[in-house]
Amino acid sequence: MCLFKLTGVSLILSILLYIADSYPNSDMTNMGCEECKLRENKVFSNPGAPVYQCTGCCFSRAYPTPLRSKKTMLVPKNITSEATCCVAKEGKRVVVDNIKLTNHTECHCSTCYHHKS
Amino acid sequence: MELSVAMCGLLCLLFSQAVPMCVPTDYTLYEERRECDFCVAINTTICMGFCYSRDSNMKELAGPRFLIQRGCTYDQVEYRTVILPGCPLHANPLFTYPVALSCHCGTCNTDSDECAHKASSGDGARCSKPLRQIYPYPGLNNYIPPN
Repeated sequence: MCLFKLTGVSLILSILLYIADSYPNSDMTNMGCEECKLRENKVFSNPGAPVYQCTGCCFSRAYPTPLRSKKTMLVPKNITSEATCCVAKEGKRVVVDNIKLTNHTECHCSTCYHHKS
Repeated sequence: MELSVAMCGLLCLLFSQAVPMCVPTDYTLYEERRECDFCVAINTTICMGFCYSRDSNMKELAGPRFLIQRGCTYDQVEYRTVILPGCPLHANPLFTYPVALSCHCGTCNTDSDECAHKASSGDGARCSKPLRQIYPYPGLNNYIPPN
């Protein structure tokens, strides 16, 4: 009975390991969080005239503000937050259904302008 | 029973990769004060990882309304205080620093945080004085509010 259970667990483990190994090789910290890239915006896209939008994940971190940096701050803060956001690097102006849009053509992780509260 | 536990553990391990990885991460903080003799290395945890963001096709019309911009930042934080070694009597030897207990993808709170625009490429020079490792007592939380 014990041997049967052990065989069953080994079999399941082997299957799961095979599935895990079949994931594409990539940075483990980015697994599951899709990269910043162009994706079709289905709200504005029409047949033969797709509109693309930059979406995806970018790296950010928050850490204790170093003392030497605190001394230069007008209002010293204990935590420094550094963030990058998925934004369009290039785009083209288009008009879709009388609405002026920007069709993104290239994306990158860069400055976040609206991540403050 | 053991089989169920093993399966759950492995499934959790696999599917945990399907969520953004903004998590508490071990970090060594290097600090030195002009009036003290040593640079100290303190082990703490910070928030680091990847967060989802989205640019807008309608920025000219709607402004930031359809933008999603978030950064990996502290959710629950605990403050700990250590005594810096080699400081003269007239100097304040206490150093208080935040420890990340949990993290989340969210907006940067300008009241409490310095919101930098872009991740720096390196941390720069760490110490100009001899290094000492600080080991705070585990579980000790002794935040002393500044005067």
